[in-house]
Amino acid sequence: MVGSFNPTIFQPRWLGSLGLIRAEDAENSTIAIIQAQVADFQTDWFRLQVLQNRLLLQSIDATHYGPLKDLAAGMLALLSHTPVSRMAMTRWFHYKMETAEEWHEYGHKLAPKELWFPLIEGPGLRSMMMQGKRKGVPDGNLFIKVEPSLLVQPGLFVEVTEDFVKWPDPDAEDAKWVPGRLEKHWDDVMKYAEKVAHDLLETLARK
Amino acid sequence: MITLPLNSESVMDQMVTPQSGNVLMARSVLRISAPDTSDENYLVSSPWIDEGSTDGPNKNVHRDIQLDLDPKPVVRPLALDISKQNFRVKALQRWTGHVERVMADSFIAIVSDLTNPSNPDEEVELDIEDVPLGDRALITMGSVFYWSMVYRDTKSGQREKSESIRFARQPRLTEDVVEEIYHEADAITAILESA
Repeated sequence: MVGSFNPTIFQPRWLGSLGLIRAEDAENSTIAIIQAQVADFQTDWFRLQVLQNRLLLQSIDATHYGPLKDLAAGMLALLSHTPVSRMAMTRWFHYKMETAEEWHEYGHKLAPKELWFPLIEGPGLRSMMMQGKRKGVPDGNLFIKVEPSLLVQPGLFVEVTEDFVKWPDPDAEDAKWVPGRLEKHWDDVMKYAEKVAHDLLETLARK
Repeated sequence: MITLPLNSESVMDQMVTPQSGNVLMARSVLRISAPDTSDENYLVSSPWIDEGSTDGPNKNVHRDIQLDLDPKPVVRPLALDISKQNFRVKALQRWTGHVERVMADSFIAIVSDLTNPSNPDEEVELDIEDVPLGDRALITMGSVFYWSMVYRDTKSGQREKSESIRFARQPRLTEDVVEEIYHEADAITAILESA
């Protein structure tokens, strides 16, 4: 989320005392730093980093996507007067390729190299990002990024992000719109991301 | 062709950045996530290029893609230190449920299958003992929970099947908010009664 935050508020004990996380989660969290400029801590299932202009909450365990949404919505419901201008939901996937040849083939399909051979030696695709809209969601901006995976080799990394800007009054300063928008779009974005990644891989395999 | 999805349902047993950040110690991560760092460096450990290239692995590559995109996506992933966990989790099946009835040692719930959404909702009876202590106070009629079956692969090669239940947590309403809700309800009642 992009907005104007007070990082010192965001402490595991604060979340625990409000019942937004379990007391055990709060007690066993690992705090990297909590200062006026930044708060950064991690529990077994999520990491929260808050800067004065940015809040990021993430988990890499799909069984916690629901609780992650609840936590984000809960925090912003309590801090409803906090100015938040943008919010994004992202999901990541890493796919392992059977062979390096297959991996290169996918890269060539996504970005044919004929155009590049006369210009540079050994052209290779580092990253590709497409921007668009999810059907029926005019207020969201969709970004799909494809890169070689850093986690699995040879592998493909797919990142699907949907970005929402506060409306109808983008100048009104509060976070009241966030919990509702999360509730409305979260499940759809998570499912859509899975479908996009899966369909993209299927299409590349067929093409 | 077989692809082996290693999507975010798997917890990787290492320090993990989902992708576009350096694989760094947690303390250093703050640097890459600082505001206005769209030009951060990131590690490309295996470049996706033609074979025979002289480009070596693990080379820092300056990120200069799509800088003309406006707006840029908000999310810049952080590293997650899960090094303390000595297992990898693979989700087998996930449901969301809501509690219908609470009994002495168990509760009845309606669950929806998130893994196969085309499956119809089911009524299940779950033991209260299966719910972590910290969540038991949340078991009331209407409360929502997340239920998942997972495989846990340990470093020693052992695979265990386990389930986890986590109840949804909502912020506690303040007295002011409760008062406001009652006022609103009274106002609506008055309108309906006068009609």
